[in-house]
Amino acid sequence: MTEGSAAGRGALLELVDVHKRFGGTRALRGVDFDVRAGEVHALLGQNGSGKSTLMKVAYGELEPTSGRILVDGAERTFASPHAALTAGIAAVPQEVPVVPSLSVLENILLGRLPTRWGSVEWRAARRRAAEVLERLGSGISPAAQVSTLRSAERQIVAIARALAVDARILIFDEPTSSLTAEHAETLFRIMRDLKEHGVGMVFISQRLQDVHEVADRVTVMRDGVVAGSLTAEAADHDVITELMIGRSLTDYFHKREVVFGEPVLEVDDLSRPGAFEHVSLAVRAGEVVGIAGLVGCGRVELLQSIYGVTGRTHGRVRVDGQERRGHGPASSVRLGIGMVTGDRKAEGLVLSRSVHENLSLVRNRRLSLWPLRHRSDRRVTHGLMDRLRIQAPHADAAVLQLSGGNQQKVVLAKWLSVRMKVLLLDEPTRGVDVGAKAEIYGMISELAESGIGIVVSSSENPELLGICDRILVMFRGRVVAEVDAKEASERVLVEYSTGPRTQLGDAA
Amino acid sequence: MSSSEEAVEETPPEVPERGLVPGWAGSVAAVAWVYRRTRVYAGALTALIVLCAYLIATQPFFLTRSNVFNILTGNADLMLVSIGLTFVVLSAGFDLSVGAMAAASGLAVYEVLNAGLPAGVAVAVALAVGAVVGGGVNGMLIGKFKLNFFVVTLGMMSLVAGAVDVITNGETETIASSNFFAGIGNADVLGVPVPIWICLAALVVAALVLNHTSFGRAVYAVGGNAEASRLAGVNVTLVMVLVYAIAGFGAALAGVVDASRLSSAAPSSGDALTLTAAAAVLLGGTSFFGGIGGVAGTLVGVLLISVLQNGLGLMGVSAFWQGVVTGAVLIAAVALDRLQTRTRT
Repeated sequence: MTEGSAAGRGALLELVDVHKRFGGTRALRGVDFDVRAGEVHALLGQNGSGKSTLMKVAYGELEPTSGRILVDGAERTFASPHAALTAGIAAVPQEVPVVPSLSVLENILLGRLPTRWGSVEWRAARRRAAEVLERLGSGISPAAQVSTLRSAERQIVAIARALAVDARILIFDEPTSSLTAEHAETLFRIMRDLKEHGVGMVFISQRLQDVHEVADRVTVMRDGVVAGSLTAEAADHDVITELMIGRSLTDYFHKREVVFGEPVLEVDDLSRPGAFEHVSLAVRAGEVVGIAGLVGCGRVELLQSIYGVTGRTHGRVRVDGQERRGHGPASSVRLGIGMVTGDRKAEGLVLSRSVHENLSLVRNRRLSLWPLRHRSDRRVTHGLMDRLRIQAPHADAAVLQLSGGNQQKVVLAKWLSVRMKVLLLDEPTRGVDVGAKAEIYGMISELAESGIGIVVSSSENPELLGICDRILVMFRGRVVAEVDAKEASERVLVEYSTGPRTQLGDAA
Repeated sequence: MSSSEEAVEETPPEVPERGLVPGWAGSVAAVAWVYRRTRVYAGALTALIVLCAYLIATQPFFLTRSNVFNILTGNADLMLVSIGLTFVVLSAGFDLSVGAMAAASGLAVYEVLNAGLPAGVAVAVALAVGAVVGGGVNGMLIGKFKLNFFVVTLGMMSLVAGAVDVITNGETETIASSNFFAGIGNADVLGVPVPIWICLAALVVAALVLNHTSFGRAVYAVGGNAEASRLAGVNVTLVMVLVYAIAGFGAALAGVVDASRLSSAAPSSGDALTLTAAAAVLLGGTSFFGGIGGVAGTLVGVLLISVLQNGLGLMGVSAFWQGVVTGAVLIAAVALDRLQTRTRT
């Protein structure tokens, strides 16, 4: 299969002086990049820096305008991802293209089920699939239907598919952006294991801490060129950030001094069976309250229940002393609660429609046959685009065309088109580059200063510590701790969020 | 679909450019604007223009007043059904029951007139039945109870068509019409037949509603992403109910026009209507995935199919070939659109 560990050998895959143009846009301008056997090479960069384009060139999705691709030192050209796969290069994309209605087995061997006389040899197929899954140390049954798997497990299926064709180079495109911390840990374990087997990996990520987990080398791209390449040990947060954005990020979190007002959001003994129980909290005007906890601890469901996304909750939600009656988001919006949902493509944006229409969605939510006031709607849109520095070709461009960071700004901005009292933010910076992150943090502070009460749920503890005033930690559906963000540390949050066992020992 | 969106994502966005630009740059911007607005049906529009030019050149009878009016009145039912269907398709649904609904509407007119009530009441009843069955049953089942639109409207199609057959015993009923009722399909106002005026009014109202009201924009938003719309506070259920009500209303209006024009209510009159209307809406660039398109495109689609059928007739091609040609044009248009999308990104 693969030759033993050979970190010192030459590159498995080498890209030399690669250029790529899209019309007038030069996405890649002379990039050199290589992957050696048995290493993880992290590729970082903001959205639009060219990292995904570079990798698409590597796995045959795009043809370079000029430049050379060397596999084992021999020059190759790939007309399609399939051609690259034949040469041992496989991609594990962000959104894994599995066939949900088929079994794990059939997905792993998709298009290459072993056959004899034209009929499938199921026994050999099962053996092959089980072998690969075992190598990944996963307990997924080959017979399970993929639609029943969680996204982390689907990713494992995609990796298994690559291994089933003896791929020696794996390209992971932001694999952790949709994963929980635990599942990311499983992925890292798999990656370390693959390293041992001499597989070379490229790891595209937005999360700097991921890099320290698995990477051996780090390359940062900016504006279509390599901004810097260094070993993982040398890659600390400040250095990487500076390489990514081209300047140092001094004012990453905006410090502010606000006098809190009256409580704007009061949640009283809210429960949703199976998700969380007996949660009470109050948010004052101008306050940012964070909710920390592992994925599955119920913080997302809590936000959704406050907002009324799903029914069947017990307890009371009051805004400005007024109780929320009726179900559904519409009743919350009426009271002045807005929610930035965690999955912007599925829940936050109408991708096929324009920036303007997405920004007007909340403002024009009430169905009416009265003529719209286009002129003032346009003014609001342009105001919001300037205020959040949303970069789009024009207001009528489909949000589909925007980068992740700009899309996220649109999701946030649509709630600023009307006067809101409370904003619920679920993972407000998921899959967003550093520059946009800083701008979103700035916006959150600005909104709090204007007297809005904000609740942020996030899996990134540094983020919560940076932007919140107060942080509630949830564990298995209950609030187990409440800490002042100024005095808390990441360690404290992690300890509380992993449950009372560790908490008893040495919590602060 | 997904490959094109990812390719775009890496392209750094240009600096926003706003305000009026003078001189030639302005006209370039204007052309770009027109292209953006008509892009989804540019192919069908080009085909329509080429086809008309060809027919004008080769068929002297094509551009006569009587033939043009004949095309437009003869396809008024298709136009009205297609306009209503456009709303549903924009909301990412479909209504298979519109053809049957049109036939039922004609029958409703016949029954009410037979009961000795005035024509105005007959028309009102027919339209109300269309809107209520469409919105109250189709729309509620789909929007409120989350049943699959295909299943619901397929069932409704069978149910309504069956009920019409039961009542009429499968026979065409002749309507002994009053002057007022006959006028809906046959009279002229300012030298133009009434059905054309009705279509024109329906088009204008539909375009205004879709582009200039929050309900219209919500139809696009719901079609593009129903969950995001719901989470933004839009009443998605109501949008669904209304679009199916509009489809039912459009079908009923088509049924009324046909009943008046032909002085009869035929149980089989709606059979071909549903799928031809679907073809017209699709040709007009409205996406079957919802959220993209509009009635301007639907007008182009309806005209293309109507002129095509008329032209084939003028050229003496058998009526049986018309379906073949319409189908081929539809597939060609969608394929061309796909090709165009691919080369752009």
